[in-house]
Amino acid sequence: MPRQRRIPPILLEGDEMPTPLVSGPGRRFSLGPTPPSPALALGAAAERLPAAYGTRRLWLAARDPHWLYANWDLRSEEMEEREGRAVSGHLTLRIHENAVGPAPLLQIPLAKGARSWFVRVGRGGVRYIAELGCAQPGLGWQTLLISNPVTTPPDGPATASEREFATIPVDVPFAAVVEQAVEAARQEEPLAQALDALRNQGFSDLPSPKEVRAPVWTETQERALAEVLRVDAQRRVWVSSLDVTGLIAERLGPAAEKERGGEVEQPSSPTGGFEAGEAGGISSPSGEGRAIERERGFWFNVNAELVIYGATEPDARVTIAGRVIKLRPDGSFSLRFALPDGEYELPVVALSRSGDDGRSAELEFRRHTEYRGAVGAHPQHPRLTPPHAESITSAETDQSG
Amino acid sequence: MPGYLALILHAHLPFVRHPEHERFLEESWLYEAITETYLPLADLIERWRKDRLNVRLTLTLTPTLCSMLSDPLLQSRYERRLSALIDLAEKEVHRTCWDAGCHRLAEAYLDRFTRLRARWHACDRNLLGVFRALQDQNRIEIATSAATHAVLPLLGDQPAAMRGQILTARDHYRACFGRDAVGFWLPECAYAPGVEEFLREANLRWFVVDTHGLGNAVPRPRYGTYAPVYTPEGLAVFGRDIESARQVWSRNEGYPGDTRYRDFYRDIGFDLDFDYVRPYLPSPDHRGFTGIKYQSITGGKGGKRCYNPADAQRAVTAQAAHFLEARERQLARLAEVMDQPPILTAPYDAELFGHWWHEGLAFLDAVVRGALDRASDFTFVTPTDYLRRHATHQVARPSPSTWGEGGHLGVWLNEKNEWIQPHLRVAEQRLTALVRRYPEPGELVDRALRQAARELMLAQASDWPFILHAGTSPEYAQRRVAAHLGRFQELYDMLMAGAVDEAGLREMETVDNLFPNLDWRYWR
Repeated sequence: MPRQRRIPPILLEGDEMPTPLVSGPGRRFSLGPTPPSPALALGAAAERLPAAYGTRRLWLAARDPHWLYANWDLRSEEMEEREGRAVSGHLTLRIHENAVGPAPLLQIPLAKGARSWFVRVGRGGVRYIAELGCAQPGLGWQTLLISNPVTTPPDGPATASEREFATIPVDVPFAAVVEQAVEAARQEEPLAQALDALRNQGFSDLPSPKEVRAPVWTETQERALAEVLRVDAQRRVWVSSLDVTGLIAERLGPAAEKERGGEVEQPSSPTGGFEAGEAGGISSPSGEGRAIERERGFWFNVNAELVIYGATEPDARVTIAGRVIKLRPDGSFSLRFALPDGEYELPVVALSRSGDDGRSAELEFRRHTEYRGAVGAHPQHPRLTPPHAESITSAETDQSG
Repeated sequence: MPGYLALILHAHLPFVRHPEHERFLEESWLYEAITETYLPLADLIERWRKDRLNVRLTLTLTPTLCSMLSDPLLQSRYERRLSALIDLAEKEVHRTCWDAGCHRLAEAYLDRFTRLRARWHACDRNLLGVFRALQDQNRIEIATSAATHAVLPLLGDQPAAMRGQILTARDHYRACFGRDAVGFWLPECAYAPGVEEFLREANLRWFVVDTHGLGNAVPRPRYGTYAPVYTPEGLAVFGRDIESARQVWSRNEGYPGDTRYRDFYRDIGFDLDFDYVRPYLPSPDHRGFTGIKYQSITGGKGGKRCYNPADAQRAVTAQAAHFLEARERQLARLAEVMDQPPILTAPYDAELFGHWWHEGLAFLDAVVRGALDRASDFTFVTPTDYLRRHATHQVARPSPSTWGEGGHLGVWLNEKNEWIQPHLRVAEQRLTALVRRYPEPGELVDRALRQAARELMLAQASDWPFILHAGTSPEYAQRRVAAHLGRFQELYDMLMAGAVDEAGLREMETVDNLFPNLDWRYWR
């Protein structure tokens, strides 16, 4: 048996590991710590799709309260032919409010060959229609396509406050509710009675008729709640799965560090009085994780590892430094250890299955490194691997996962 | 006056299944989420049940996720991955044996992965069955979502496309859970008027919008997000509570960024020698996450500290108490001004808990147990529970909105991804044209129509424009969109020519095999 000895607290991450480019909790679809790719040109896969189908549709969408998106599906030949006929040599996108008319709200000269456009309209809650066309010599404006109408989302809360309340039993299928309501209307029967009829048919979860009435509500209550809701409206937050990393990276970045005076930030209670300007700051501006600033330039990274490998009878019991290790089916084994500077002793023991035969090896190692310049502070190169003696390589090749 | 807290966890992943590759990088999204969120979450709810805790949780399981969780190929691949992780953790136990901090972590990983594999075997690889049982035991409510998580407002002028997404989801839910869904998660919380018609057809009764979706509703909702409204079509709409969202996500207060928590990105798949970790990487030729991580977020410049679970647990305890105190204060404030018990609707991505935020499930546990220990004056309910107790609400039309950056469609419709839209619009029109062309098709045409609908819906997923926007795996997203639209085009050409190539069709059915009973008639 090996003699008892004190193993120094070593052999782990001896060399300082590089700091990854991003840090913190993860986010959806993350595949690693490298920063996201920059804006990508349309790749080969997408380029295999046809440029146009020739359906002659102009599609308009309201992207947000202030922006519209339009695209049009014209075959290239038709586009070129129309552009050739235009006085200006290009097509024009017109944006109309409510309905198509002679005086559009906006008139956008399009780049040659353009098939889509983002249009800033700047107003929420307005109905828009797009029109694609061009002015032709002697003919004036010629309409090519007209879009579907869209309404931009409103910018803020509605002013309308007439309130109607309804009682809809969640466990009664819509079809039954509608059928009962239609029947009630036909017989000029109040909805409450219709609900009673449903209740009698076995829908016992229906609310009592008194609940159907709109709750009593005073102006004082209205004002008090409006105050709560007003504060909430200023705390807009649009965060789903995209943004945490960016936020945390920002918190942990140099600027945040400076701001905190080097203190570790702890969660704090909400202050209650949020500034309106803070609202937009909660969501990620770009959705792209922010890389922590790093020095670039020449770099050098050196790691040293220790590989203990060997073989014995497949059913033997092998320990390294007193810990049992798992043998491969052929009785071979290999273990890796990080090897920082220092002196180490490793006892390796093999015991036969019956326990009546054993062998041991006392391994001693020393590593001493002198660094000149910054070494080992950069991310490990993906292809950086330790040198392999042939025997080590053959032992490692069995480790399929 | 008591109040309610509706915790809603939205679990979703796009359909990623590549039988043509032995190991495929993006499939790891599913495997990581099973290991770190879905299995541990099921266990957590089980523990609540055993401890007789009176808590109800809502879980959205999207149809694509359900399809993957019940797919035999992905199940066996997950098992292989988990076994590989156990092997790696065993090696790590040895490798780290003289570093007390990392060694304890390596042992904990080994123990955790081994228990997860036992759990996986115990449920016979059927994680969906576990959630189904939890719903049948009345512990959770499972809501559904659009079939492939399409941003429904972008389908606004293509009613058949929207109808197909919603009714396919309804049918798939029935097949998975043996009952009808009551709640519907609007993908990306993206709402625009028009969705109600098909939700009502599917007898779906509630959905969630972001705060401003309800705040800007017409007429203005009396109770803001603290009570649902009914749309004129009779669907209940719950608005996201901004304060509980903010506490988890905010720049200044967000919990997951506590420096004591485990760093998501610092993984031995990136840190250690390539040859050593290579057999355990998601894809053999690229460094990737293994799931074994030893460092805490730490903060500041310089090296990372070794992760200390005890320190992290202290952060969890403090943050859970902080969260609960804030809810109690919020409800107390509302009690002064409201005449009915308010509901706080708190939806989160499920994968945040455990996967992106390692301690997230411990936080959830601490919130639930803390609330019950403190006898907090609120009840954990699901939206359906709430509607059963409170059926009278204001009628209002929510405002178009999403929970993405900017609150609208900017994430899914911008310069990086707008090129997808015209192709989708044409494919949507063409599918409807095909369906009308073949009112009574034979078996082969029936299969081709079904596959065409699958390919279209896979191309419609919100995930591809999201990835193109976020830049996490843009080439893959492009390839997926192009591949599905390309297959759709092939099927379209075959059907228009009246000659379906059975071998080609079979190959597509093998690769994109979700929704086996899809009904293409919904696209009429």
